[in-house]
Amino acid sequence: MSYRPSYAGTGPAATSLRILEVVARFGTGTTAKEITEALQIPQATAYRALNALVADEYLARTSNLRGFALGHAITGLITAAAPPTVSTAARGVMERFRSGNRFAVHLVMYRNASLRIADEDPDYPLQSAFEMLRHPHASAAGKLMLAELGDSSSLPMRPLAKLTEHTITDRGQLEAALADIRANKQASEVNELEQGSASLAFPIAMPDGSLGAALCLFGPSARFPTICEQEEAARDLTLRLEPLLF
Amino acid sequence: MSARSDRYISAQSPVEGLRRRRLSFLPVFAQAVANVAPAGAMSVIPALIFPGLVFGSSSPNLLMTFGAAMAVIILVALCLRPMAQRMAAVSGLYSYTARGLGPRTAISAGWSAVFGYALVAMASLLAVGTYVVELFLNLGLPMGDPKVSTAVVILAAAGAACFLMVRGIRLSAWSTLLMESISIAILTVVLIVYFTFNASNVNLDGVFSWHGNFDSLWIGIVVAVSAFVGFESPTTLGGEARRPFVSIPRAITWTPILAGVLYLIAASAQDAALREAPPGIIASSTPLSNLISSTSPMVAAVLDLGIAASWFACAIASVNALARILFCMGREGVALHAVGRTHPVFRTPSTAIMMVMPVIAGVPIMVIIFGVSPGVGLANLFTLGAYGYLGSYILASASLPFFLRRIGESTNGSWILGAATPLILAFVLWAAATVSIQAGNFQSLIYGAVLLASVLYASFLHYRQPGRLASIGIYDETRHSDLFHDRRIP
Repeated sequence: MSYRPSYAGTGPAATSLRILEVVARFGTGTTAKEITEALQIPQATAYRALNALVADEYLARTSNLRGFALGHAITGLITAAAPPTVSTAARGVMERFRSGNRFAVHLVMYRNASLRIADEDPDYPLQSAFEMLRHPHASAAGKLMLAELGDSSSLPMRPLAKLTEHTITDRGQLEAALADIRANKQASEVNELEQGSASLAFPIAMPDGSLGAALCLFGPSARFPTICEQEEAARDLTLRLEPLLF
Repeated sequence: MSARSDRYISAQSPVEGLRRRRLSFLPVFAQAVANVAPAGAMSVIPALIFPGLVFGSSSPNLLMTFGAAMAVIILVALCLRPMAQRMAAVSGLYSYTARGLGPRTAISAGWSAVFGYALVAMASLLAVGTYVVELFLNLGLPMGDPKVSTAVVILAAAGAACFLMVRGIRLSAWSTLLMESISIAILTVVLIVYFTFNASNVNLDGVFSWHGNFDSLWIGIVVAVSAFVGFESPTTLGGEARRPFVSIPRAITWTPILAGVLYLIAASAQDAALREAPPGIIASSTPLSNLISSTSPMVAAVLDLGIAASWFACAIASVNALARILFCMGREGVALHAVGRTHPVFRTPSTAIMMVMPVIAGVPIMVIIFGVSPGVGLANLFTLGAYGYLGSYILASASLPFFLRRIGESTNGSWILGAATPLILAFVLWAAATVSIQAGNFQSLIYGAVLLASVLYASFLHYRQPGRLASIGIYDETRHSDLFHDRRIP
């Protein structure tokens, strides 16, 4: 097996990242020798970097101590960086639903307690994608995720950001809202993420029943009651999307 | 998980049952510091070197003796560090040796380590008894028969230690940290106060002069090395430490340095103080306390309390390490299976702890009952324990290059370090053994007998039950939860 990276950085950070890349490519059981050969770096450099990566749990040693595997600490980076994939069949179903609907329809997927925009409505691009990824407490899709995670301990310890006047910033209020979401199996938000905008999010379950994705309907906040009328059609869509997504 | 990772990651952990990955750095560090017991050693060991001087008419240079001992121990730490960075050991040097020099040699390393921890735990309990009784005397409390009261104190201390250890590694580690900090603080303050008030009487010239001979230097180094032993005991917490590959290498590197600095200060202070002291005080088993007691009994009582706390923490740390080695041996099938059991609630190797504690408490009580002076008892138990530690250090440091070669990460430095360190240790051990045999002391013979028994047992296993021998070397292996996992939520 041989692998040579296109760019060979030499600093300790670059070495560590390149080692992680080799282990990711070669898979569980990659040995130190394979790594030094693949990267053409001195043994001592490789051992030092490997020990540091194992110490911080980015890598783990296999049972015979010779091989390496990606450790749990790298999970966040990989899943956040990798774009979610949506099958053509699922995109087709989404497209048909959008053509019979006057609101923006987006598909959001969840990975390791973070939000990914999987399929954005081409006619009504998401205005507040930046805020959605950073402040889950302010969006319907984000609140759906927080409700699934169970408690507010998964929330950042810093004070909840106030994006608009209506954003819930009190933890007690948020807990109550999350309890409602768990009971109704849907989340909503009016003027919380962006003034003048409202949204609804419906869960799409994975085969084991846990939350995997959400269907989000966005519209002007004045039309919120009309958005809510779409509930039945949207729920029907989530059931059809389940086998196409997971 | 793919088939490839299942081949590399075993489903069932061989050390299942311990509370995994919960101990932060401070308690891990406390395990090392407590097992070294710097406060206790600062007050006893420099004094032990004086009566230990059977040959030299003049005393050796304490600074040089402790400096050399510190250098030897740092070499050992450098040998253990690479292994601690790579393997989350639960049985310390025993499992390193198993990976490096193979299971038969590991039996000898394991028995040596168990012997060392057991003897130091016994000595610690004896020291607790001696210093607590001394504390009562300094306070002027009426004591009945000192023998009976010492035995009662030892029993009570053993019971308390047993409770803390079974109750959980976090509780016992945090309590040892607390006691060790108190004792180091007390000892430092008392020494500073003593020297401030007696500054005019102290002559520091002797500290820096050299007028010993080399024979007395060697035996001095052996005793001084024994003041550092125990620094490696966090290597038995690989399963329980939160970030074992960070905290354990760090603890075994910094403990000898910290202890060394404390010893150099205490040794020079006591060298100066005891040089002027009457012979009766030098020969006593609690010399520092007696010396200060002649100034102020109250201060001496506080000092006794600090030293007793330090030895109590040392007893806990030693038995914690000892119990984890026995626990692994039980799991591997080379010791009674029962010692491989863990407590269902507290998740400690409780059976191993409960089985060894009666022996650990029994020996010092016997020493007291048979009327051996505590000073002689302490010196013998500590020296005997030091043989066990040194034996396990020799085997474990010799394992380093083989350990690294076996996992395909051999370096030139490891061959040099792995050759030089065991040779130096062996020389120290040999020098100590010859001197002690010439002095008519049987300590080295007792340790030799233990070593011989371990070799015989390993041979028996090799020829009769090779399967059991092959299972030696278990450690806290990587689990699926330690690996990268792609879950949607959470």
